[in-house]
Amino acid sequence: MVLNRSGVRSDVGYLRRRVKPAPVVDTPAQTSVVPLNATAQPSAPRAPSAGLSLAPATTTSVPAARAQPATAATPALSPDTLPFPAPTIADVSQLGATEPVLRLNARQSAVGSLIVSGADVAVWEDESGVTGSATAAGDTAGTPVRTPGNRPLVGYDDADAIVSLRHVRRLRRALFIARGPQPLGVQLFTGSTVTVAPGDDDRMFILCLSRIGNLLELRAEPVETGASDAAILSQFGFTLTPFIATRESRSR
Amino acid sequence: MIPGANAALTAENPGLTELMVGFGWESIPSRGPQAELVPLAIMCDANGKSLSNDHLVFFNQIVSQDGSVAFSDDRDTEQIDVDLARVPAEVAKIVFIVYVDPDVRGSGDFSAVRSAYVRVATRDNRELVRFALPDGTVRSVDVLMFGELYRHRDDWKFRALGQGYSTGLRGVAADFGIDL
Repeated sequence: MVLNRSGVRSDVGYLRRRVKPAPVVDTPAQTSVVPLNATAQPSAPRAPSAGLSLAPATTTSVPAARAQPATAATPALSPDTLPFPAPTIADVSQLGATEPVLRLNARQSAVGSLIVSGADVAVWEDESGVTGSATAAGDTAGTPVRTPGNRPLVGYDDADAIVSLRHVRRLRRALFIARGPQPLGVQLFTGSTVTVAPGDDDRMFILCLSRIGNLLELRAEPVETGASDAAILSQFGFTLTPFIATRESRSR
Repeated sequence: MIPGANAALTAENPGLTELMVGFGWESIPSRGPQAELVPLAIMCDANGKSLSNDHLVFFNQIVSQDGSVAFSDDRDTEQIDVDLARVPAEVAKIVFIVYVDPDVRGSGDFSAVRSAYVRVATRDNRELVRFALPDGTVRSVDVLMFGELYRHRDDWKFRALGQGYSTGLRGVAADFGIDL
């Protein structure tokens, strides 16, 4: 099999791989510029490995950096490169039968909180398949996902469901179900909003949130109006993972 | 370095093409919601405006459109790599900021942050410059400009900044012409 050893692929924005340099002995912190050329050494050859080598091809001489515009740079795809076009939140005021889906850009998908109003039930699945649910009434089931900021990845704050976009990379998908008269609504950090059509006697719409690479996709999905929460979760393939509350030893 | 100081990079280091800009900090632990810091690189034109929304690099937009600036997570708390040879000619400077994520459940500010620094190193981690932000002087802000790489004639230099915003990312977006 022929392997591509041509180095870092910068034409694949999201998957751009950074090759770690070989470990070096830490030098003490400097408060002034350290000339590079005084101690420049060629990088040591890597030890042979029986496994697949992900190292780039042998480095040749490094061109000077000065006054070199990137005319020869490999064109890279935008991180927003999409599998197919989708409307933006600026294009859609209401998700429903006619406009079922919209996609947020990389900034909208990652800054601040995604606020879902009108949701009585929120269900989440993180990148490792951990699932759980919470209700506006305060009930929880499954496994909560906490973030380093001591906030839930998906949770409730007063009556609104909140998604922590700082940790959007940990989210795989989420569902939001409205049972009351208030329609589902989404608000972003920028103030942009979109609502979800309420449906009719036969069917209603729930809000599905999916992470596609670095982008969040919002989709209105029709379900039977009388369908239970459990039936909807089953319909969308959610099985809540069991949660065991752990505790630390009491310190004296 | 002190705020406002600058250091020549390529002039003092012929052949320097690839840089690592590392950020680090310590947060005072809390049981409640904590401020979450996010580094962001903005590639600016001669007027100090972002060239486009694709010329931002952070954890969810990990490489610039031209491939010259890329986010990584390695030795430091956070890290951004810069390939100077691939930086487009129209980029006059690259500003490195750290913002507090504006979570609606109490985003916080830099008051719980200590020992923040930015450092510039070669690809093999030879440290060239380090700027330790003074503790306590900018606690009430929610965005801090740590430093910037900028062109000086045919060379690249680094300037320590240490200036803050109390208007959050909206203030940054307005100043740099960014559409969030």
